[in-house]
Amino acid sequence: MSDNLVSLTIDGIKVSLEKGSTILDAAQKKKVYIPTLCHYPELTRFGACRLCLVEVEGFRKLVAACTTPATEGMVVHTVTPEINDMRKTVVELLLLHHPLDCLTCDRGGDCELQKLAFTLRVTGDRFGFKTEEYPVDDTNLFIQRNFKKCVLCGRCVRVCDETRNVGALGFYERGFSTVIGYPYNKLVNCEYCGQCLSVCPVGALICKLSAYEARPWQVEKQRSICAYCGCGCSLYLEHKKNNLVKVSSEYGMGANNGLLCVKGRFGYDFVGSEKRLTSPLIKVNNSFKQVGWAQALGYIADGFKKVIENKGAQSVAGAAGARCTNEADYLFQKFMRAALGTNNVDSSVRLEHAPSISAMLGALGVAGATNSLAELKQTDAILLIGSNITASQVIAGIYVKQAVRQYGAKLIVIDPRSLEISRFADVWLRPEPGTDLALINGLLHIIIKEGLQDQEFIDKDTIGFADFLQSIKEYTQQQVEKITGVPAGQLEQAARLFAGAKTGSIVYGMGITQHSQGTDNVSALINLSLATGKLGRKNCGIYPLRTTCNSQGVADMGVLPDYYPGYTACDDMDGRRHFARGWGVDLPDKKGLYLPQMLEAAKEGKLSAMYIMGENLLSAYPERKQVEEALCALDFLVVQDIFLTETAKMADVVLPAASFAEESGTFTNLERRVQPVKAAISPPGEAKPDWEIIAGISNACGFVMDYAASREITEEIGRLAPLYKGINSEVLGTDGVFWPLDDNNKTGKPYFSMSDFYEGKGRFTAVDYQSEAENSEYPFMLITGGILFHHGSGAMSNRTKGLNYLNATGYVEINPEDADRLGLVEGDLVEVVSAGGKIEVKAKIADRYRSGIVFVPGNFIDLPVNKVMQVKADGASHMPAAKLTPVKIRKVT
Amino acid sequence: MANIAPKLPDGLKKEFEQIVAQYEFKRGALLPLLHKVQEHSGYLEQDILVGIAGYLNIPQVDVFEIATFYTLFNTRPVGNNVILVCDSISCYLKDEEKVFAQIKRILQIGSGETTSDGKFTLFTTSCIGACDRAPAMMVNDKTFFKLTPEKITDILKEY
Ligand code: SF4
Ligand code: SF4
Ligand code: SF4
Ligand code: FES
Ligand code: FES
Repeated sequence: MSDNLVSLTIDGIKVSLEKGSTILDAAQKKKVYIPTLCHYPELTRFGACRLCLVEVEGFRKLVAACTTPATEGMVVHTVTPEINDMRKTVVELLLLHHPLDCLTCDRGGDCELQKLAFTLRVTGDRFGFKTEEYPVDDTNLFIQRNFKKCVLCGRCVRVCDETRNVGALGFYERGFSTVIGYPYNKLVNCEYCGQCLSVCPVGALICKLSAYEARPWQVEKQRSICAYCGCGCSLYLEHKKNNLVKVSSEYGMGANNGLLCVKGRFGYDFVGSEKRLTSPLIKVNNSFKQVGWAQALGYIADGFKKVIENKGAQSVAGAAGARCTNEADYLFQKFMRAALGTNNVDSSVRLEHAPSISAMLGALGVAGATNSLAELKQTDAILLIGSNITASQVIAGIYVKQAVRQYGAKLIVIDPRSLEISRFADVWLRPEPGTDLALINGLLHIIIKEGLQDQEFIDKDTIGFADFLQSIKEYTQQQVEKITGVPAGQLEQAARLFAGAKTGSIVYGMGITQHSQGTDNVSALINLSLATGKLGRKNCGIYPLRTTCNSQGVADMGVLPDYYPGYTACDDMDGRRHFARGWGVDLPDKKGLYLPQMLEAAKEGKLSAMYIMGENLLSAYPERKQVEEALCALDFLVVQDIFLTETAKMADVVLPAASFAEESGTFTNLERRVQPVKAAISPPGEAKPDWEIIAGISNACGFVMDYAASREITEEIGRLAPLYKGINSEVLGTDGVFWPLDDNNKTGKPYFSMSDFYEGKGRFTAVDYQSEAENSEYPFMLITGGILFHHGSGAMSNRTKGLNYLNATGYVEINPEDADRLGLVEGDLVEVVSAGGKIEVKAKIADRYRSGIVFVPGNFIDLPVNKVMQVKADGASHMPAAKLTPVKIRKVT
Repeated sequence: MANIAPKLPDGLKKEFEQIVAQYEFKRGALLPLLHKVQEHSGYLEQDILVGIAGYLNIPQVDVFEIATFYTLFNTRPVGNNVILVCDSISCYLKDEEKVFAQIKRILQIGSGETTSDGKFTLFTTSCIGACDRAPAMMVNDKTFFKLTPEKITDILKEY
């Protein structure tokens, strides 16, 4: 018998399992039922409820199976009259103050206490005295807390503290008076993730948004993927009579391990919104007229044909958002390329991670996170830069927090803002906004100077080190301190920490990419990975944090003017031939226009028709005026979406699409995991899945697309796109696969080895920081970004009851010092003015930012901050970058 | 974390720093800090609890849990003298109820209340480790044993 195993007998059954396991683990392994209440997988062992009592031969007393270690030779009995009596008594004691409300309790039929009482035949309370009255907290739209029903299992407290690392709940008082409490009776730091709801065994925590909608046996559950951020959380869409009634999850499932954030769990009701588009619309005399599909498709085909006949195929263009399935995205670019004959096709990835794609393809030959999210937990040092991760990619944020608190990782946070994650940092560097490149080069300089680089790795696995060395020469501590404002000592600390760790990963967000040197910024981060040998193996990777459910996928699918699906360059002859053969047509040989170029071309009259799918470009594009002018100048605009967005209002034809809950296909999350998306309900009215609409248009245009189901498109992608080779609905299973697959690996690659990179090497890129001139007329620096309670430009999240309850409108966040100077108090109306435009917005005073920086969230449809933002293009990736805009602030009187 | 301006009692700053310096992990200083505040202000004001959480960089709820768990901490303003009557099993069996009733009768207050002259606040508490001389109670720092209703009258007179 191996050293780290123990064997024991439970109810006569022999079990052997790992040392350190409990009796309960052993029982569960052999499917021996032991009732539990306070126990929950992955939370610390609690041993509070005493329901799991068992008899161990030779022990004087009954012991708790959930906390007692299994030891060699133990003989355990789980069913004896004594145990049964004890368990019964425990339940009877719980019922002392638990109202027998099961008839009307939302958890009736799905309650662990109810099940226990039933199994143990406990009919009521035997003791006949009542303990004190407990409060019901009904102050919050989301979560009702009824502490009469609380069994004090502590699961909510532990999950909030240990798993989410939030710590909003605790045990207050003691003895009979014990309640689950929170400071001031308010959930001060609660993130409304609802994880506590999902672990509560009884009806003490009820989600009011979905309460009393359905009994558990009336709903059907469809497993699918969240429609918001790039984490790609698995969830259940619970539906009844074609209505979504709830979103839930289960411990252990998906990339999220069963965790969800507030958006995923509570932000689903936009699906059932009355404002959904339900029929195709054609604009006649400036107002929309409802039409049937046949008429709409014919009209569109004529519209495109006319433009192409008059002005050629290069005068049409397509742009897709990042919320549609891979199947829709794939068909979208296929339609533009094969049916219309243009490479003018781009996606909103241009607005978020185009720099990541160009830098990563250049240096590594792959574009996507090199490692899986789960690995973050095992990583020794994490360098997080330019991301409010706990708000915008919550689950990734949780893994980083867990890495620090539960697994002892070191965390370096680089961000001028004081963020929730800063609290967890070992080193927190606060550079001047926009100086990240100088800072990263500075770290590299220190690493080289102190000889902390991984020379063996550099020699064996990289190219271009010598040139790179030249390029960082001038980034001495003094110089970098001057540019970034970060003290040299802190720089050294960070450099040593990261370089010295056994494994390390770099995680970055749009603070890095949305910059006129976005591509250079990403290249510098790759240099850092390469110089320290932290790439190409487990727990060593680089993670671009994608913003939307299919940001990764839409680029993988080639909704890019320069790449076919799977990043085959359009000007690569073999690649073109491959797709031309696959699609049975000749393909254009020039690469197409990038999104910003499309807008320019439209304004200049060189582009006359556009097809926009799943993106409210007017809100999402960093310079609103650009889009307005461009779309106005078009002859013909088709918009396909789930709402009549501002962009859709400008269209000649509007097509009603299905939402994520009504469409099947796949999404690819930010760790390259291709996951099945499954329709739970049917779309409202005449709305249709995106892919069906595209196929319809294509057929009307005379290019036949004949698919019976999205599954067939998945298979075509698997046949033609090199990265997705071999992926089809069978291989995907429920948890999805990491691209790429190979013959002997059917679940894909959670992390890349060096051999997965282009020619098996990583390439250093010499990059140089360019300073930007200050502008004294606009003394403030405007930063935009996302907040926890909303997503993207707000198209979905602004249309949900719950998320709006938590935060309904935008604001400008100003530092208290600046507010004093400007004579502002919370709630004052101010004007934020840039050289490009202005908005009026209420002031919020908070000290997350240094004096001189203001923040406006970009998540609100009714706060078009892109009227103010000013774009500077990142030359290498054509990213219209606008993270920072110089502004002035005026109080509106 | 930077940027939190915790509300801490004026004049305690220095002592706080000294206490924290004795612990390897800052959060270990929680209990002594709470004692210090109570000694200083008589009770633990909510805002100060929040201040301490910020000061120690721990979730607010951690501080509230501790402050409400121990009956020796007052989370509300109390009278000049705090009476804690043990109502756990040994004392209960030794007629704690009669003792408690006597106190209530004399002071004309119930559990958790303060006399109108601000002299006494009355609480029950769980076992204070004096089971062998039950029933027992504490007035401020002092413990009284083997109580009877008669003894109560005398004890209270002393304050
Ligand atoms: S909703 Fe989430 S953050 Fe809030 S108390 Fe529950 S688990 Fe904690
Ligand atoms: S509220 Fe629910 S999860 Fe929390 S302690 Fe009570 S019964 Fe357990
Ligand atoms: S928004 Fe992101 S983190 Fe939240 S549930 Fe959805 S995929 Fe997960
Ligand atoms: S499940 Fe073991 S004590 Fe609660
Ligand atoms: S029970 Fe009262 S002192 Fe122990």
